[in-house]
Parts: sequence; C-alpha cells; structure tokens
Amino acid sequence: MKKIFEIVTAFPKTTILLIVALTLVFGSQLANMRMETDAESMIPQGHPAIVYSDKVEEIFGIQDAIIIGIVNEEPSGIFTPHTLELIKRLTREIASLEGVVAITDDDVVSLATIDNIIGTEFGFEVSPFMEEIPATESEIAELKRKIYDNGMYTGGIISEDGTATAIFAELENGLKSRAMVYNQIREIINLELQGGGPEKIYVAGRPVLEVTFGEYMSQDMQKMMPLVLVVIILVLFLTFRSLRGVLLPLSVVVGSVIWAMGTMTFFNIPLFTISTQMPIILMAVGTAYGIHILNKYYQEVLENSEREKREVILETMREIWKPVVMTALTTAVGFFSLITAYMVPIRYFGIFTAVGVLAAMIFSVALIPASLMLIKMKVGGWKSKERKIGEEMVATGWSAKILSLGGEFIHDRRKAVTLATTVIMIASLIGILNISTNSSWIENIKHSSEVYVANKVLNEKFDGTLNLYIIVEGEEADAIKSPTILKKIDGLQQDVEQMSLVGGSRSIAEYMKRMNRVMNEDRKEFEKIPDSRELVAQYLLMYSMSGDPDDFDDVIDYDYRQANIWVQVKSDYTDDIASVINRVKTYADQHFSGDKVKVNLAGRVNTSYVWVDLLIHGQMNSILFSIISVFLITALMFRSFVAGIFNIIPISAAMLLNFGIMGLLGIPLDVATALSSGIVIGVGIDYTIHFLSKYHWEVDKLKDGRKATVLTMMTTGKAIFFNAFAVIAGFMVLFASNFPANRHLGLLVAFNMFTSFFAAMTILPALLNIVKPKFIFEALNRGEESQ
Amino acid sequence: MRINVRPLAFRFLILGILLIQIAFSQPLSYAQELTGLEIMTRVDERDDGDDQRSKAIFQLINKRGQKRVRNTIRLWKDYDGKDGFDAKLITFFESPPDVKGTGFLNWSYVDEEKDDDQWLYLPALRKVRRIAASNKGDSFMGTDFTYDDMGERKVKEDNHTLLKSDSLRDTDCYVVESVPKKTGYIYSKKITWVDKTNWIPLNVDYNDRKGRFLKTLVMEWQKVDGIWSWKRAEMQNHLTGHKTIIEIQNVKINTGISDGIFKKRTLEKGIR
Repeated sequence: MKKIFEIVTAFPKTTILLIVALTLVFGSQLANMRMETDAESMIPQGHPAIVYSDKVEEIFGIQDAIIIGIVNEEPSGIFTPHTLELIKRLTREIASLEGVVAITDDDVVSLATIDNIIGTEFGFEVSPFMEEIPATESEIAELKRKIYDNGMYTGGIISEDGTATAIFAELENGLKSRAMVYNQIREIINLELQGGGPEKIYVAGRPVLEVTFGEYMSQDMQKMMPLVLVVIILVLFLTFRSLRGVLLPLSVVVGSVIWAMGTMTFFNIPLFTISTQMPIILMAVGTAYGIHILNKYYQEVLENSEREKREVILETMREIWKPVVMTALTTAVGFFSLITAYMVPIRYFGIFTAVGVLAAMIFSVALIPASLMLIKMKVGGWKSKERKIGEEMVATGWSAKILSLGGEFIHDRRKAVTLATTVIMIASLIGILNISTNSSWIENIKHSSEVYVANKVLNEKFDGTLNLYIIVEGEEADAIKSPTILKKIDGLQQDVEQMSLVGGSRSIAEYMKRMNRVMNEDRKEFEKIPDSRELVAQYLLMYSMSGDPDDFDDVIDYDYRQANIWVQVKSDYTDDIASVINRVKTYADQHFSGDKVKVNLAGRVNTSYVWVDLLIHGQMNSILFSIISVFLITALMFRSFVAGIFNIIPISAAMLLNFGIMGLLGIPLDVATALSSGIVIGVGIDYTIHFLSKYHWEVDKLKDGRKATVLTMMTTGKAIFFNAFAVIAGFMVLFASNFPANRHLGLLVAFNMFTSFFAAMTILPALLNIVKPKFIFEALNRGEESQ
Repeated sequence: MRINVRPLAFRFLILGILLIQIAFSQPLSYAQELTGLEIMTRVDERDDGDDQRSKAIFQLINKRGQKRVRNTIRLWKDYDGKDGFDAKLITFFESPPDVKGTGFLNWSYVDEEKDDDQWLYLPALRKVRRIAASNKGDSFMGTDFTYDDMGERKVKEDNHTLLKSDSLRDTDCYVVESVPKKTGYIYSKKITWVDKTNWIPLNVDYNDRKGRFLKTLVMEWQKVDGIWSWKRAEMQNHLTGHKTIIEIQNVKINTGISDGIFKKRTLEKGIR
C-alpha cells in the first residue's frame, strides 16, 4: 500500500489524468442510461405465491382495471339524464381508446353496459339496464328500481346511496401504454368537466397507481440529484471552509457516482426508484473518506509544517489508508449483502452501490493525495485559527472543548456509561418483542396526489378498490357444480363480508342464486343455491347460451373445477390483508375440510402482502449477513477476533435501539425500515472503524488510555461528527421525495446515523477502556512488561 | 343458413348457366363481369334445402386449449317468409349428461328489425322459459359465432366489392369484401372466399369495429342429396384466443319436418 502512495505522489499528474480518463470512459456510458419506473419490476418472479397468482389471473382472464368514479352529490344522485348521458359517453369514448381491452363497448363495465338478469312471468332475460338513456322521471325511477332490486351491482358499479357510479376498463399490460391511456382519459374528463355539470370525476385503480408511481419516480430523480449536490457542497464548506475542502471530496463523490452508474449502464441495467438513493449514499460515504483524509492532512500540516509536502502527504496516508480502505470494504460488503434480497432492483442497488463505494475509495486514496501534491500546502479556513502551526494540540474551539470533555467523562465514568447502555439495550430488547410489520402500497403515494384522493373517495363510495381472490379448487372437472360447494362458497362470502374492511364480494354462487330466483317467477324465497347438481349445470348452460362465450370466465374456470371469489377490500395494509386472509382460512378449515377442495388466495393484494413479508424478513437476513461480514472483515484487518466484536458492538447497539424504539412506539416495520438497516450498517460501521483505528494509533503513541480517548475524540471524533452530519444532511434530501416511504427512510437513516455515531463515541471508548483489549493495548502491555 | 327459394324459372336460369359453364369447361370466362353483390347474392340464394335434421357437435375451446364439448340434435326448417318467419330451429342437448334433455327453440323473422324469439327448456326445472331476445350481433348459443355469422345477415345490409380471384385449398375462389352500410355494426369489414363453381363460402375474415382483425371462419362442405351442406365450421377469435368448432353429422335434408315440431311443447316432450 505504501508503494502506491509513493507512486501516486511521485507522478501526481499522470495519476489524475488516468483517473479523469477512466471517468470519461464511464461517463460516456451514461448517455445510454435507461429509467425503469414500472412498479412491476419490484415484484420478485418465481416465488410460489406470485407464480400461483399469475396462473390464477390467466385462468380467470383478470387484467388490471382503471376505475373511473362519477360522483353527483345533488339529491337526485347520479340518476339524472345529464349524468347518465355522461356515463354513456365516457364508456364509449374509453372503449375506443387504444390500450383498453375492449372488443366491444360492452367490455368496458359501467351502468351503460351491464346486463340485468330479470325474471318475467313467462321467462328469463339478460338485457342491458340502460339501452336508451331514460328521459322521463318515471323511466329514471324505473331504472333506479331495477338496479337496486338486482342488488348484484350495488357497491360495485353503483354506490349504496346512489351518488356515485363507476366505470371499469381493463387495460393492456405495459406501463407506457397504460400511461397513455390514463392521460387520454384525463383529457376526456377535462373536456367533460369544462361543460360545467354537477359531476365530479375520479380516476383510480392499479394502472393509475402504477403510472403515478412512475411519474413521481422520474420527478424524484430529477429533483433529488441537484439537491444532493447542493447539500454536499454546503456540508463540505461548513466542514472545511476552503475551496480544496469542497472540491476534493466533491470530485470523489461525483467520480464515484459516474463510475457506479457507468458500470450499471454498461451492463444494461436501468435506473430503478431505489437507485435514486445511490448518489445520496455515495455522497455520504465519499465525502466521509475525503473528510477523514483532509482532517488528518491538516493535523499533519499543523503538527510540523517544516516537512516537505510529499512527506506530509505520505505520513497522512500512512495513518489513514487503513481505516479508509477498511470502511470502504465493510460498506461495500454491507451493500453487497443486498444481493440476497428477493427484489431484483434492490439486488442491483446493492451491487452497484458497492461498486460506487469501491470507486470512492480509489478516488480517495489516489486522487486526493495526487491533487494535494499539486497544490500549496496550507491549512484553510477556521482550521488555521484553531491552532497555529507547530502548536500542541489543545482544545480551543467549542466543539473541540465538548469533545475533549466528553472523552474525559466517558473514560472516567466508563462503567456508568456501559451500565446505562446496557439498560437501554435491555429496554430495546423488550421493545423488539413487540415489533410488528405493516406496510401499504397506496399509503406510500403522496396524499395530495390525484390518485390517492380518487382512491379514498371511491373507497368511501364503493365496496373497495382492491381485489383479493379466493380460489376454491376441486380435484376434478365439474367440482364447482356441486350445490354443497356452492352453498359453502356463499357462506364464505357472507362470513368475510361481515368484516368492515371488506366491502363486498362476487362469485358464481351469486349468479346461481339470482338465476334460481329469476327462473322461479322472481320469487324471493328462491334466492338460494339450487339443490340439484343438474339444475346448476343447466343454469350455467343457459347463461352461457344467452351471453358471450367468456361471460363467467372471471368467476369460474373452463372445466368448472375452480371458482374465483372476488373480495373487495378497502385497505392494502399488510395487517389488514392478513386479518382477511386469516378469516378466510379459518372458515375454509371449518367448512371445506371434508370436501376434496382446496382454498387458496391470489391477486395483487395477496402478492403484495406476500412480498412485503418477504422483503421485511429478507432484510432481517441481510442485516445478519452484513453484521457477520463486518465482523469477519474487521477481525481480519485488525488480526483479532476481539477487534471484530468491538467493531460490531456500536452498530448492533444502534440497530437494537432502532428496532426497540419502533417496537415501543408501535411503529411497524415496513419496506422503508427494512431497507434502512442495510444502509445503516454499511455506513454506520465506518464511525467505529475510524474511531478504533485512531484510538489504536494513539494508544501505541501515547501509551495512555485516557489521553488516547480524549485525543481520538478531538481529532477523529470531530471528523466522524462531520461525517455523520454529512450523511444525515444527505438523507434529509429524501424529504423532498414524492413518496412518504422515502421520507420515512430519510428520517430513519438520519436517526440511525446519529445513534451509530453516538454509540461509536460513547459505549465503544467506554468498553475499550474497561476491557483494554489486547489488539489495541498490546504495545502498551509490552511496554509495561519491559519496565 | 338462410335461403330464399326463388321462382322456378330463376333456378333454371342458374342451372342453365352452370350447364353452359361445364359445357365450355371454361367456368370463369365471365368472372370479371360479376360484381361483389352478384356473387354474394348467389351465395345467399344457393339451394340449401327446405329443412335439415342432423347431429351437431359443439366444441368450445379457450385460449389455454381447454374444451367444452356438447352433443346436440338439431332440426331446422326454412320458412322463406311464410307468416313472416325466416326459419325455425330446435336443438336438444344429448351430452354432457348433466344437461341432457335441455332444449332450445329459436324463431327468426324476415323483418331484419325484429329480434329472434327464443325458448329454453331445463329438464331439472321442468319448465320452458323464454329467454332474452338476442341481437343479430350476439353470440349464438355462447359460441364464437353470432346469429349473423350463422346466416341471418341479409345481403342488402352490406356493400360488396369483388377484390380478386384467388385459389384457396385448391379451389378457385372469388374474394369479396363486405362493408356494412350502417355504422355501428360489430364488424367493420368481412372478406369472404367464395368457391367459384359451387357458390359456397370457404373462408371468412372478420374485422371488428375498431378495424382489428377479429375472427376467421373456415368451412368444410359436403354434398347431401345434391345439396351443399357444411359439415364443419371453425371460428377462431384472434382477439380472445377462443375458438368454436361445430361439426355436423348424419345430415338428412328435405325430410319434410312438420311445423308442429318447432313448438314449446316439443321442448318439454323431447323428440325421438
């Protein structure tokens, strides 16, 4: 390593040129950078629950639908010719759009297209509710009567109170096409609203969520990158108050971002949402290396400015390279551990952030010393006021005073500090026992956004905008024709509908009940599942003969082996979904057990639930993985197992505290918290490594634990403080995000950075001074023995 | 399959032309003079018997290749405008077993504005029920065919253009494009391959209202008692991936089926 610095300082211009050239090569890649904002990319492929759900969606021909809600709060509700006309017009216009799955207008489901199954004295009829727009009051009253009498559409197409109605249009796959459809629908609606009717129109549904996610992601990327840059410059200026203090670390950050993103583009991997955090993290770690190197350099200059420039730089690097390389390696490994994640974007995020961290390390150990060779040796800004060149290190500035006093306090009251920490950790452990997980996609979108508001309104007016599918699967064909099974399906629906979270449900059982009534002179007492299997079969045949070949496709499969119960749910919080799932499972266990049928769950709501669970538990694994990796690397570099243990103590304490507080305050684990822990370990470990290295160095030199503690606090402690400050400030940038989860993540990382910094500055020195571990005090012990 | 039996003289005229064709063994010498309308009129007016009794096997196949097979007995009678009726059809399901005995009766009318009348008999319910008045563009018995595809659409409802002559399955064909006169019909365009010698449609391509290629019909024919009758029709929907195959077996033509068969009572009693 020493050789490298000798070469670098001997040929500074060549070094800089080489690095700049390499950066240009990586930079040239950036022109081909792609952005991937499709939320679908976050969903891991190959998991059984997801594979099953895809299969179910294929069998039942389910495609994501866009939902257009029309609300008229006038006393008449939507039952006015004006609103009914509007419904018909919108339905037709939407059906004609490219990207909408509609062979005929009827494929767009609305009051203008749905059919009524009516029983008459002499027959049975499947016909549209609204062939013509009713004009007279009595015709409107008749329409209203028919709709509510049928009942199957209440809560789904029409709200219970008659003030709202919905249009459902299935969209083809692909984010681009969906974004286009959504924008066209918005245009159509804007034109309609210019007419100035009493109606309000809301657009929601999964495709709209996806499109909005995509839009917000791009906005986030454009907004955050420059913001990050501003924050770095500000932090660096506050730390060094000198041009070189800003420019050198800044070049490390910018260079490492270019290297990381360049390699990413080279491997044809697009930018994902989560990738927006990459520059923030690289900024945090990149500036840290710069801060530590410059900090040490200034100390060396101040200590003895008589020396030659090259000698000062070499001396600086000799002491600092080890912690810099070590912190870089541990951070890189921390991020690399994300490769175990289920979500592909998170994996890439981990890998390429690791690449960026290593790039930042190369920049720091090569570019910074080379650049320092080319500029005048001096101490810039307030550093020069703090201490005149050649003076003894004494605490003068307020920050140095606090740090020095803190160092003394921690050394002298080391047992009290340890005890306090232990108490806090026990409390945290108790908290952890209460920790819960809960996460929501929808709540993760800006609450002022159009789609969030639309979703909220529609959830209030209707049964729920989210679909959970309960699949009842028999062993052989025609299993669902059994009246016993149908009655149980009906029972399951009634049971699950009792939950306030569940707005309504729909299944083949409902159609059978309706047809049975209609075929029996529309008598209410026949609104039940027929008792004969043949009659069920004949109803099915009859309905299929009066409709399209794929009319029942979304509730029963082609050979009548599987039935699909659509359950409308109002919340996508994983906790809420879990409660619905448990209710379904309990019912299924009690009622379906002897029937040779399986009851399974599917749908986006279920897969999100499954994958959030995976994400959170997957993250628990990567936390363990990174802690173990950090332990191994530091143990190896310090050549001591005990050193490894000391290294993971502060970071583990910070983690424990984090989860403990969450448990105690009842804050559930969600996607953001799960991600934060990886970042926190990767970056937070640096404080400990820097502290330990410096402390080791000082103990060797001063042969005194107390003095070493105080001096470490004043020098490296200060650098760590600025380092943590930079990281915290960097993650605060996430507050500008469109996503509450990102803001949440920013807050969490900031908090955790503070606690890991604090732990590295308190419990670490306290324990070091109690245990006096061999790997640090070796030299000292040897010294004592020799005396 | 709708036919209008024309005056005898007209039939002889066609026969005469056919004979001349054969005699000169240059069947297409006058082809260029025929218009699309004339071709489609000939197809429409081709004799397909006065009544027909047969077995019909329906195979409904979804895009995943799963099948629903239904065996039926069907009786059909051409009314040729008598009392306003176009034709009457009665169908009984033989299998699958759980629907055996289910009967379906359909009356169609010459007046193109008038919807068909339909009744259904469910043996498990022991009741005849009138069912929804179908539109011509609606699915025929839940298949990929519409009532119009089954022959109910009138020639005069479309504008016909002869596109070209072409060879299909070793048969010389006229290729005729038919575009509806009224807007808003389920199809925007229909292209029919018509056998030049026998005036039977072999293939039909349908484009939906948005102009997308929607369906293809492939028909196979057989000659029964001197009358061309289709024995297999396969309709593939390209947009849904769904397919319907109807196979006709044991065809008996012009057996003189009595009007009394096409009544609601028959649905309850069944036929032997």
